[in-house]
Amino acid sequence: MKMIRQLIACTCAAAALAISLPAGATDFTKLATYEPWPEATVEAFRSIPVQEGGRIKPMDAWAQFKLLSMNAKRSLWIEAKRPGDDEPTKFKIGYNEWALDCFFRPDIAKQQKIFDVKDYDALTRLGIELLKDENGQTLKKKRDRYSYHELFTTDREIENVRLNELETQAERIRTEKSDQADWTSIEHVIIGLHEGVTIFDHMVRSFAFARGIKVGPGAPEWLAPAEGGTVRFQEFFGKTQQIAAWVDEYQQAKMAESMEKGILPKDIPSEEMIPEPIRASFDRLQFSPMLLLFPPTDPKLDEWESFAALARNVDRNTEGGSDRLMKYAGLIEDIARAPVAESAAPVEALRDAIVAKAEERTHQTPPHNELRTVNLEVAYYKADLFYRSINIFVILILAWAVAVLTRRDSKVSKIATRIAFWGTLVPVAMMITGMTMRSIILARPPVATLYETLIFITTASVIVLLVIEAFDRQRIALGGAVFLGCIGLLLSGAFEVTKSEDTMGTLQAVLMTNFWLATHVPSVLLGYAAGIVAALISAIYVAFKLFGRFSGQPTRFTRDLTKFAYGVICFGLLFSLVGTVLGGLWANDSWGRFWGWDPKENGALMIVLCFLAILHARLGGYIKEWGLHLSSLLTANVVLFSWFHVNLLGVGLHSYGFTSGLKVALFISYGVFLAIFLVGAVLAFLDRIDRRRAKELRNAEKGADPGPGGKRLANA
Amino acid sequence: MSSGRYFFNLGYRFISSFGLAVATFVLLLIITYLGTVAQIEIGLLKAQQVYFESWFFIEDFAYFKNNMESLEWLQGKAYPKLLLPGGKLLLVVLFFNLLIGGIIRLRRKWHKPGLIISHFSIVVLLVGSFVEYRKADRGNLKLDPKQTADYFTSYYDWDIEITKAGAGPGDEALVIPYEQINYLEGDLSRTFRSDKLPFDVQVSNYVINSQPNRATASPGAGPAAKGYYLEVGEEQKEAEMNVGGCKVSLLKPGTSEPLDEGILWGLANAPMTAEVGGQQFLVTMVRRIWPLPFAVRLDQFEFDLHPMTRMAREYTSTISQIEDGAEKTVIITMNEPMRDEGYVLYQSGYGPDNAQPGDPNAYTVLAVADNPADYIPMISCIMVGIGLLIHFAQMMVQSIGGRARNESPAAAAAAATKSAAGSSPPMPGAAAPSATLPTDAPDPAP
Repeated sequence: MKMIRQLIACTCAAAALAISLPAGATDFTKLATYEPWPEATVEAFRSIPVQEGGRIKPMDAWAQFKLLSMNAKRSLWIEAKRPGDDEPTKFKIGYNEWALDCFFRPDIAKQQKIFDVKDYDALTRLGIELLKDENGQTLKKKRDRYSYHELFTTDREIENVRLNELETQAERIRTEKSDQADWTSIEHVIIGLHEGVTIFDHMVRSFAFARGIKVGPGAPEWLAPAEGGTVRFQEFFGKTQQIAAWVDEYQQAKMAESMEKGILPKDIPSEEMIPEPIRASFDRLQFSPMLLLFPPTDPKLDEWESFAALARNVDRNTEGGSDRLMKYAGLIEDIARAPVAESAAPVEALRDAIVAKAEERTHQTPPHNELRTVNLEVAYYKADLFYRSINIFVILILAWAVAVLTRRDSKVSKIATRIAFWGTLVPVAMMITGMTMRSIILARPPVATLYETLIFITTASVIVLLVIEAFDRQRIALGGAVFLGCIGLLLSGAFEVTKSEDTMGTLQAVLMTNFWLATHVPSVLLGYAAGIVAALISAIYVAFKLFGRFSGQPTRFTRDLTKFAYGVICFGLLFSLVGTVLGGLWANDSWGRFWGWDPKENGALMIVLCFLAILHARLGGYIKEWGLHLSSLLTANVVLFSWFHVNLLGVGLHSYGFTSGLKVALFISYGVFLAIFLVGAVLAFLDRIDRRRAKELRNAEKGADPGPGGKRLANA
Repeated sequence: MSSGRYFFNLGYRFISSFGLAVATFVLLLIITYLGTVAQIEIGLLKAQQVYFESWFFIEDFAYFKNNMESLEWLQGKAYPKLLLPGGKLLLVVLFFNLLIGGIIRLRRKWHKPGLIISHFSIVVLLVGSFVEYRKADRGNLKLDPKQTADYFTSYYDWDIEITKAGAGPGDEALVIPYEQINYLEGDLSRTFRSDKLPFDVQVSNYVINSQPNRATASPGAGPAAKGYYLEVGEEQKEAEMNVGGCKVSLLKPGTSEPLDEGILWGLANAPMTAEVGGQQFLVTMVRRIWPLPFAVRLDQFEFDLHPMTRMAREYTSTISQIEDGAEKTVIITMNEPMRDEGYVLYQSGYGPDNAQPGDPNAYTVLAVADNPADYIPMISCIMVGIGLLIHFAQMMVQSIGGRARNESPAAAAAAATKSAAGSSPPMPGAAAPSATLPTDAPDPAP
């Protein structure tokens, strides 16, 4: 018994250590120098409100999911000399710093290795040559990170060819295969790279104008650049009419000259129709519509505007449009022109201007309280409660391992047990706090997306296991709690990276009902949690039975496990049955029918049926200990099917829940539970043989035929 | 005991047994899974009919076949066909099992009221579902701004309607219901007769999803008449997208002598007209229409999108309910339907596709249900919740009570004695197993 516990504890401790060890950072971006953005700049930048996905969020949220979608990480490593460094050092920058680089130092951003390419064969297909050493071996791993310059070079012509090829291939894949399920892995990489490069290009273009408009030699005197061959945007834009007249004059002359040469105007290359001195200026005047940063002036509108929209509205002679454009352009130019060390003040000024305008809208009719939770969201991401909970769980796993590895009545074991038990309340409190913050930010229960269900189910499972531990004090439920907490949060983090989308997205109209979100969804999720916890207990049962074959059967203990699994299944039935019927009531109010055999509804029903079958089979005596645990392990697969797999089927009314990219993880999970089930089934078979042998032995020892009465007794 | 009584007891015990309950749950689990994945191949409505509204069905594993074809070792392999009980049969069995085993036999156990309540509530739910299945009508109602209507139309059922030319609202129309024509595929035909008509109506060549075309040199595969033919389209998985069509022949009563013939199509702009006996008749194929006991008028429809997205944030119809000349204003929005006189009107959708918020021409689509069992699920939900809470609370109290007894000094001493007698060493703090839970542990030595 002791050996089993020690073995399990050692395994868990080793796993915990493996989790806690920092992953080796290999994707260093090597730069000659890098001047980090001051903390005050980053603080001001992260709280700039921006609109995306139908809601107002802080730049902190905007930037992190942009980097995550390209880089599969929220930070990147740089090796460079910082001001004051004698030698290059290695350091990490976060997503806000990266976004600042993209907006205001694109030349540096283009050298940062942020494009996570999962298979370099995709690059070969795009005609991108990989760097090779003198032996012809590629310097990159099959999955590696690349900078923009590594992919597209600094040569403008090569860059254009490669970008066009990427665009063409991505377009072809999307046209030929409308269903993502038909894409090959290489095609997924190409589409991912195309999306990443598109976002990056938009970011780099967003404030390119702020670095000055390039004007070459030969420009009229009134447009001559004052410094570095550039003219300030405000100055350039203020002379729009003059420039237009000049361009018009130039074009007339050009056409007349061409006509004299017998060339029709339509045959003149389009770039030649623009005067040479300002041809390069177009690079910095291609505004991006992606970053919706500016609150609208019309109180009837909800849509914030990009810089591109501001510029467009000036063309349409919108009232006051020019003033707004010039005001914001000036603020953005101030950031671009300020030395990095002094960038905090202009960033704060830009943020304050946007915030002031948004706050002004709270007093308009109709009022728009758009900044209600922006600061709370910044605090949420800064606190990073779920990630920090993982670290605490790792410590708690170690404490639990110490408790189990030492003698139970020793002081060390008692202290370690207490640390593990009471310490678990800390991450539980953190997870509850995190969910509460999400709930306030979103003004709804935090259970409407798959990511949120992962957090909710993890928290609920840990609490259920802690309650079991409080009654049982065998430290097994405690082990399950800390381990499940850690795994659940790791999975939610992995899910977030896989999706790389804002996890606080807006909801469809049908989901915008707090009553049903607060009743039906948590009930069903508690049913899921019960199914997973029961399966975990059953897995522990199988492990003890397996190791018990070598070190004696801990019968009483395994019977306790059976009781817990039974209790959790009862708990699960209550919540899944009530939750499923509540779901029907919701459907009756929104879709006009109680039950429509929709895949998600069927999934919930299948869990209820599993629980009902187990409990009735148990009551009827058809299954005993082994039967209960084996069916509980199968129920886990039904829970996985209902929780995730129905979202992959692509049919049904619960279309807001569709997700892709989870298939592999899902099938691995099925496989794990099935493998434990099979091991359990073999052990159950062996147990059965043992019992039969023991009975025969007893009968033989008695040396007499037990007779009809004895037989009845033996079978009782 | 007489053999009749013996067999009655045997049947009574069987129908109320745990074994039957477990078997029903497991089979329901299996068909629910199969019916869920089958929706990918055949769509919801068909899956519902095949798996859940049938007594028996044959499973051909089409979903698995299509998903496994990439695996070489499975290519070309024959898949088995299994005869399985359908949802209807299983739910009927479950109903009787619950009624007899879960209520009648359990009535002696009044100390377990939670179980009886929860079983009873599921029986109520099954009865409610049956009433809904048999009696509920569902459809929708599209209302343009300021339009008034006192009916709603079916999603799937295409009826044939015959009226006299010039008939107005309130005049009689003869209807051949969908259920009597939807199986008349190919040359299969059926003749309908009414004393009120001077002709018989022969229906044939019903096409589930059809498209009419002008017959040319090659008239296509579908039925043809009067220079038109019905093109047989692929049956849509979303059944409401199918548009029915068929061929009708008007025959001299009691004979097979044709008077006229034509093609009917669900979305035709004009009805088929026929002159018989000096009177003109209109024959059309329309979605089934059910009358509402009141009229509704769309006063205002508002919808809103999340900013800079195409995702709906809210849509609301302000309607006037008109009955006996009296009007009252009702607001129907997502998750907040209107309930009156046994009818429920839900906010279901809007159009046209390119409508923008504030569009004065945007129309609303209301889902309408006439469901006599509308409230039964709610009653059942409350009851099942209460029942299970009572039962599990009782179990928990018993378990904690039993645990306290087992942890008393006397019980500890007994456990120690047993341990000393050679059984496995006791776990500190471990509770004795509940006497009610059977175990797989070896029988104790005598």
